[in-house]
Amino acid sequence: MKLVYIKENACVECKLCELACYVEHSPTKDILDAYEMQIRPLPRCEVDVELPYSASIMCRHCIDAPCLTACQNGSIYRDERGAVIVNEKTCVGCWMCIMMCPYGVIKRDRRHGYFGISTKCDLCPERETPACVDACPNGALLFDDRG
Amino acid sequence: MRYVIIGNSVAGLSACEAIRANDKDSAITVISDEPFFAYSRPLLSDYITGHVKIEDDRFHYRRAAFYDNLNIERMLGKKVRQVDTKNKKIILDNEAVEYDRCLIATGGTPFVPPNLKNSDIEGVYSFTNLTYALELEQALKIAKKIVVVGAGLIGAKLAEKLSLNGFDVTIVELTNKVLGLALDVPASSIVTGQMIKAGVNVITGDSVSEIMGTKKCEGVVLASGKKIECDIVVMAIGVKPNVTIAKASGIAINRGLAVSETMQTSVKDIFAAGDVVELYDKVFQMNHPIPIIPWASVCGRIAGENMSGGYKIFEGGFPVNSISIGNASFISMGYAETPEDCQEYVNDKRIDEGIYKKIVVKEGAIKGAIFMGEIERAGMVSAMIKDNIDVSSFAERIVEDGFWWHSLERTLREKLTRRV
Ligand SMILES: Cc1cc2nc3c(=O)[nH]c(=O)nc-3n(C[C@H](O)[C@H](O)[C@H](O)COP(=O)(O)OP(=O)(O)OC[C@H]3O[C@@H](n4cnc5c(N)ncnc54)[C@H](O)[C@@H]3O)c2cc1C
Ligand code: SF4
Ligand code: SF4
Repeated sequence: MKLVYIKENACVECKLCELACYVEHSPTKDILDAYEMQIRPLPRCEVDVELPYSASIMCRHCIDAPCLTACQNGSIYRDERGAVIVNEKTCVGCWMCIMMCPYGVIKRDRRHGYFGISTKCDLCPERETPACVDACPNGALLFDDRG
Repeated sequence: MRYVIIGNSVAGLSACEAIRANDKDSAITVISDEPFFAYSRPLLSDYITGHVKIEDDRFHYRRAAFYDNLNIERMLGKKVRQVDTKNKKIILDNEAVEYDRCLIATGGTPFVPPNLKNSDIEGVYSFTNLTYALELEQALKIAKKIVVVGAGLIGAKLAEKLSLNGFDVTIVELTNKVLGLALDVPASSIVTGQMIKAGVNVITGDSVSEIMGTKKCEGVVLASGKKIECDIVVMAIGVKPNVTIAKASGIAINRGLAVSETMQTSVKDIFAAGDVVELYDKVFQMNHPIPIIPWASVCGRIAGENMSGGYKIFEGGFPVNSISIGNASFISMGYAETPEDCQEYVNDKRIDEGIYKKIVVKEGAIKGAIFMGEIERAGMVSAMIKDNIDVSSFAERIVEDGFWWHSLERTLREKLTRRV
């Protein structure tokens, strides 16, 4: 399947990927609307920096996804594209997925009521190419099928 | 081929998914003694406090169309008594079901100490399934004072939630700290603080020796002699493998139902998975039950794969838990207290804000970890245990603030960031 591949040496820590991600995951997908939201969506990719290292890290959509088998109530599933998706309507924020994710790429969103919501990359189901990849000015993220 | 799955829960349904992926046509039957749709046990305490309802999607282990989509026949509300291994029949109360391959996924049963006086009177409850939760829910309509026995993962969470819902709750724990198996002293103190803040009366280093009352529970007597009045006692000192069927059928049992790496029992064509079995523990290096959802689901899947012509083995597990009590969220795995022959790496710089991190290392291998407050990278550590990663050269970085991919050497980063 197609996946976002990370090229460490090309990242210039501009964080445009993070910006593009939260705009894409906002209701209107408009940058100003998204910026002004009271509860702004969390970016699902995050730039990990300790120079000279910098890279935007997000879910790897693992083949035997440990987050999916750990989930207590079937809130994580694989869609037709092969992407590993969190059902945010049923997630109860128990963080068992975080406990098993080998990449440390799941975020906790606790701003929406009694239950927290596990938040991670969904490979932008409404786009041809994920927003982070399109936003990167330096080709540090590649959307590629390497089997 | 006819598959029969005993147990309508995590291990059983994970096996069904694996079987259906390999075998589109054969009949699959799921049998359970509870009449309900498969549900999520960690949510039972949220059910009790009214935050989830029986009909909510989030209470269910799989969505409503699951059984139809996978073409699975259900026999719910029926108890299996025995497996006739010679004639390949599952024996229920008034009927029998034939099988070619069978999975025993009967989970655990609550442990009640045999010498506890009066443990069978009205007002004493267990809390390991929905049937018990429904009984407790009824009793809570008139009860005011509750004693929870055992401050493990189930007891601690229930006590906190009941207290926040206005009940007068006391929790009694035999050891000197709450969540003793999962947390060390500093982390446990943070949780105790959160429980006290929620209004729970926390008693450690004491145990319940007698339940007072003749017909109905009136209170408890502790080993120290102290008496506590209450209307309800909830026993939460642990679960043990539910091996009743295995015992009646002559299937080998050790600390739990004994299985090979392929989840096969001592009897051909009978597999087992989930809380009912004992597993190889990579950290503690022995076989014992590790009754948590991740292994129930992984092993159920492995069993299903092997039952339907595939081949997969289980390489070992270890205790690993994630819980939130009040503001304290934590993930812990393996050893909580550092054994003498291990080294520990601790970051307690922000313990006042409830942030605490520790790993336990022996000969380069991680043997335990506690992440409290900041838990996002805990899964990297559980993966390092699973993959036998030698952490000697960067162990102290794991507990540092901001630990992530930059903290690792390039070769290891590349090894770990391949798509698993
Ligand atoms: C209150 C509570 C909180 C928990 N919290 C967590 C948590 O936060 N994280 C975590 O990882 N784990 C947690 N657990 C443990 C987790 O629920 C179990 O690990 C998991 O449910 C095990 O799945 P299983 O399929 O092996 O068995 P179970 O879920 O126990 O299911 C057993 C099935 O077998 C059926 N059965 C049993 N005997 C018979 C019989 N004779 N005939 C027919 N059917 C039978 C039962 O009806 C049931 O359908 C919690 C458990 C409880 C009780
Ligand atoms: S969230 Fe983590 S475990 Fe789940 S698919 Fe993504 S990288 Fe894998
Ligand atoms: S946090 Fe949500 S998605 Fe993650 S394991 Fe818990 S319920 Fe499932």
